[in-house]
Amino acid sequence: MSKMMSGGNEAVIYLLGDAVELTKSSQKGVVGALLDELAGKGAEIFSSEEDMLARGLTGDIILSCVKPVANIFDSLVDETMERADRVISC
Amino acid sequence: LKTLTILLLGAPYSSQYPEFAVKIADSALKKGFKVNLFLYGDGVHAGMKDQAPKAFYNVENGLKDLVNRGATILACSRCSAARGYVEGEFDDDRQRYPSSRMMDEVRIFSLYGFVDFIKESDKIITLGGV
Repeated sequence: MSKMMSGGNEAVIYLLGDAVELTKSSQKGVVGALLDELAGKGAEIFSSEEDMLARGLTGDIILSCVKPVANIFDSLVDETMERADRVISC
Repeated sequence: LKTLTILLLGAPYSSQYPEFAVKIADSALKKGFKVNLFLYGDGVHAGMKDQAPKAFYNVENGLKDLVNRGATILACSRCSAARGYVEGEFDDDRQRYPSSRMMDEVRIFSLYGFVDFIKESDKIITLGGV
């Protein structure tokens, strides 16, 4: 995705379910740094607030580049159907 | 009218993918999009009758609601047969393989049904399977 953005493409990332664990600011792996790097290139990173709260992820333990979203499915559908050229789901 | 197709590969109650599929489809229907859902692999278990989760989101009820609001849901026939859902030859009149264990709202159909979904879709989201 970093290469894709370097090529002039825009990217939006949605984190759902267990993927919201990637928003922890205390993580020691490379993923947190990658999220910061992508956000620095202009990527928007949305995370399900409902799934974060269920896992105790609130406040300042969250990466600052992540935006918690309350009704994330509405946002995801709008992005998918109206703005995105391609959808990559994994 | 734009069409969204969701390919569901994950089973209910062992992953959240079926719940996500229902909630994405629900939002898409509310926004006026046409919605198709194709159940493949372990995703066919999402269409099982008489689900009774005690604490989890009830996927069966979610799928019924989607169909009642216009969504089309197919389950892969080979995947369904492998998991014991198919109980006879294809019924031309009902356009499905017979099954007493699959919800009426979910039609067991060949993989060509997914090909038709792809042809008519503007976007496809895949959930599960990793």
